[in-house]
Parts: sequence; C-alpha cells; structure tokens
Amino acid sequence: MSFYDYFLNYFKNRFSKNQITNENVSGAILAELVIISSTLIAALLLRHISIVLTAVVILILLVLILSNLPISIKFFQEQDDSIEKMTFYAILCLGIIVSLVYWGGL
Amino acid sequence: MNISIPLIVIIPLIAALFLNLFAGKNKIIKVLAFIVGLGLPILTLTTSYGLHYFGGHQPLALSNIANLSTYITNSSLYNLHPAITYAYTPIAKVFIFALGIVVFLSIFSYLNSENKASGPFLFMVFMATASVSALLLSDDLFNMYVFFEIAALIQTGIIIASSAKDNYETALKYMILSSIGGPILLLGITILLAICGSVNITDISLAISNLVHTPEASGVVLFAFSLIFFGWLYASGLPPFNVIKSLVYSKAEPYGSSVLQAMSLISLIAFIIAMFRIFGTLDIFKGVMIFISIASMILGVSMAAMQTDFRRMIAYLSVGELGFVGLGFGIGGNFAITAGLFQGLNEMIVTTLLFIGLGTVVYLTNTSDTRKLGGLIGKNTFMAIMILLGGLAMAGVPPFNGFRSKLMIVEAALNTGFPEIAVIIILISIATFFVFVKAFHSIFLKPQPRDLTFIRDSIPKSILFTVLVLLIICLILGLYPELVTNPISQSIGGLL
Repeated sequence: MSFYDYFLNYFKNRFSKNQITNENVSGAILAELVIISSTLIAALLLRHISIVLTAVVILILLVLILSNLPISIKFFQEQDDSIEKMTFYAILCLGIIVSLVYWGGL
Repeated sequence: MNISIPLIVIIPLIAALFLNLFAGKNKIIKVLAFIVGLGLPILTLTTSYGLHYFGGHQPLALSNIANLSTYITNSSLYNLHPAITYAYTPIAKVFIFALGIVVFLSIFSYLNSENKASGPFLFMVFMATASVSALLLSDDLFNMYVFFEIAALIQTGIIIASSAKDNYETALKYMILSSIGGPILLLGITILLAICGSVNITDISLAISNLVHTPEASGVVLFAFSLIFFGWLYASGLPPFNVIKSLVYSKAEPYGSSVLQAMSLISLIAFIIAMFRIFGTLDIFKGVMIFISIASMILGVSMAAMQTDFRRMIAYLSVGELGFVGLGFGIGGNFAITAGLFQGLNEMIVTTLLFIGLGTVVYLTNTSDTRKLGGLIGKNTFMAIMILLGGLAMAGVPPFNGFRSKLMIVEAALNTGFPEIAVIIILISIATFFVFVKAFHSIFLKPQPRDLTFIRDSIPKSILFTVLVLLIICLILGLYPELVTNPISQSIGGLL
C-alpha cells in the first residue's frame, strides 16, 4: 500500500463522521510535507551551536517523524479548541521556555 | 514636550466614552465614529516626533539645572525618568498611522453595512485603538502592561459583541488563558522593577546592560526575560496561544476580526521592541526568537491548510505570518529588523483586506464552511478578483508588498549565514499560496452547491471601496517600499 493510500485511510478513519473532499486530503498532505521538511531544515540551524548536536537531533527527529506518520493529522487533533489542551500546552510551553532560557542562558 | 503626542491616545479614549454615552442615538454615533476615525490617521501624520513627559517631570539630565552637586550628576538618579514617558518615533508613526487606516476602513464598512450602529461595539473599537497606540508610544513597561490588559478585555468584548456561534464560550476560553499569560507578564515586569528600581524601558536597558554580566543577577535577568517572553507569546498569539488567537479571530464579525488582528500585531511589535531594547544583548535572545518564529510559521500554515472554515484559515495564516516579524529580530541587524517590521505592517493591511473581503461571503450566504460554498465568482467578480490579489499579496507574489518584505527577510537571512531560514521562508510562502488558492477555488470557482442559499443579494459598495483602498495600499507599498522602510530603518538605527 502506498503512503498516499495509507494517508487517505487514516484520514477517513479519523474524520469519517464529517464530509471529506479531495481538498481536505490535499490540504492535509501539504501540511504533512511542510511540517516534515521545515522541521528538518530548522534543525539544521543547530549547526551554529554544534555539528554533533545537529546530527543527533536530526536522527531523533527522523525516528520521531517516521514512527508517528501521518503527523499533520495528529498535530491537527492536538491543536483543537478544547480549553484543557490549550491550557496544558500553555503551561508546558512556560516550563520549557523558563528552563531553556534560564539554564541555556547561564 | 509635544502636547499632540498624548492626544493620539486621549482622542480615541474620549470618543469611546461619548460613543457609549450616545449609544441609543444612531445618527450621532455614526457621525462621531466617522469623524474621529478619519481624524486619527490625520492626527498621526501631523504630529511631529518627540517625547512627552506626563506631569512635565523630565530627567534631571535634560533639565539644565546649573550647579548641581557631583554626587547627583554622577549617580544614576541624574538620568532616571521619573515620569511616564511617551516617545513618538518613526516606527510609532508608521504603525499607528496604519492602525488608524485599518480602524477607519473597518468602521466605514461597518457603518455602511449595518442600519443601526452599535455604540458599545464602536466604544470597544476606539478603546482598542487608544490602548494599542499607547502600547507603541509608552516607554514605561508598567504603563504598557496596563494598556495591554485593557486591550485584552476589549478583545473579549469584541468577541461577545459578534453574532457567531459559540462566541461566549470563546470569550470565556480567552479570559481563562489571559489569566495565565497576563500575570506571568506582570511577574516578569515586577522582577525587573525589583532589580532595576524603575519601570522605564530606557532606565531598565541601562541597568540590565550592567547587571547581566554579574553572576548574582544574571539568573534573575534571564528568569525575568523568560517570563516576559511568555507574556509576549500570549500578547501576540504565537504558539502555544495560536489556537485561541485564531479561534478569537474567527468568532468576531469581519470588521471586528480586522481590528483584533491589528491589535495583536501592534502588541507583538510594542513588546518585541521593548524586549529587544532590554534583553537584546543576551546571547539566547536571538535563538529563542528564531525558534518560536519558525514554530509559529510551520504551525500556522499547516493548520490553515487543514481548515474547512475560511475564517479560521485566514486566522491561522495571520497568526503564522507573525513569525516573520520575530524572524527579523532573531536574525538581527538593521536590515533584518526593518524587514521583519515591514512584513508586520504588510500583514496587518493584507489580513484586514482578507477578513473584510471574505466577510462578504458570510454577508451573502451566512456560512464560512468551504464545503458548502462554491460559484460565488458570479455574484461579484470584481470582489473575487480583489480577494485573489489580496491572497497573492499575503503569499508574497510580486508586485505586492508581501513580496518585498519576504524578499528582504530572505536576503537578510542569506547575508547573515542562515540559508536554512531563507529556505523555510520560501517553503512557507509556497504553502501559503497553495492554501489560499485552494480556498479561493472552494469559495469562488467550484460549481455552486444546489443547497446553497443566499440571505442577501449584493455586497455593499462601501465594502468594495474598502477592499479596493487596501489593495491599492498593498500595491503602493510593493512598488515604493521605502515609504515605510526608511522611517523604520531610521528608528532601528537609533535602537541599535
């Protein structure tokens, strides 16, 4: 089964209650490509800190991405309008920022 | 002292109060809102650059007092700013003028589309204008925070004033998240006050440049930076607040959405400039700015691609485009920061165009679901073409303004040794183009569904005029970018 078929079936299973058009699927595939390519390219920026770190982070990202395909739909489900998820990510982000800036900047 | 500087804040504040007072008198509030809305951009243009010290309490160093003792002139008190200071710089002029245009055109469309104007809604629009203008003018962090909180309450009010489904729930969610972001921002400001003894940004910048190199204080400075940075994310709607911000935009009326996105953008710019002045020398500043900007751009465009509601799609695109402003500051240098701010200005104009232009689809059909729409190009071809051109401007297609600013950021990234950022910008721009063309096809080009019903027959001419004016501004800024890049660059030169 090709990746497209896998993607389409996954999409239908997740959103079967709603009306799905080929535009929705093409949008999701675009999101998938943007997330994967941009994240990997952004990781290359770490070369300004350390080449070894860049290689390690890219390998970790590759494993994470390949084991979580299709990633855009999972992102979409996490980025929903529920106040629980929004609050959770706000607090998580606050923790990451404070830790990263405080210990990263010292 | 320049007395017309505080008038930029005071006039919309007074207008807001009068509009609320005359809420029942339709004709009076329409005339008053139109006159004040038109007058604000004119006032911004005619006001000359300078400083205004409230109460007249300028720093001792500027007072020209003869024979002061050396123990005073050598102390930090000599340069301390005792008063709340408003600084009217070229950046403030450009952005407050653009805000004035957006507010005037939004009000103009609203007044001509609705038979009965709402006094409370206009009150909120003018309060919003006053508060975000004060954000840009103020050189005082606590004053900025107060006006920022007023702006947050106004945003909630604008959502409540709309007739969209679940608007009350969205307003409540926004208030809950405000209760996280707002106090964290205030805590960061309080820590700065504790270690610097002042809330004036110029005073804090001076103190921080010394404190950051002392081992005892550097940790506190970094902690304050992380808290203010988080507050800035909340103020501007960058991740993790991108979902609530896009939800807020999509639940307001088109006129309200355009004002809301302008408010977020001005808040972003006011706080990023303040952070740059205070923490710009920290090594980690550029890194976190680039990281969050790229995350915002990726999340914004990818989530927009998956939307079936076009208002939500524009909202996500708008939030994602904010990342370009942060990228300018992350790359650093006069050219990159100017490019980032220029992109911010362009985004404010283009998003207003798209919110008001696509708002006509809801005006005609009472739906924003792209699956239920189609064939609307037959309803008003001229509007459809203008919306298409607006979308192209957002994606960065020449000769529009978005192309110029995005090209400037790409150039800045390449010149400073960040080719990865240039590639990501191009990828995001292509994706934005795709998203917009997909939405345009769904709304205007695909066959009209049989069950699509129209609640109105035509679009008000005032909205056509508004969108045309905004499109002309996009074209002018694309052809003559130096109209705004020169003043912005001049201000940034002063900051660097």
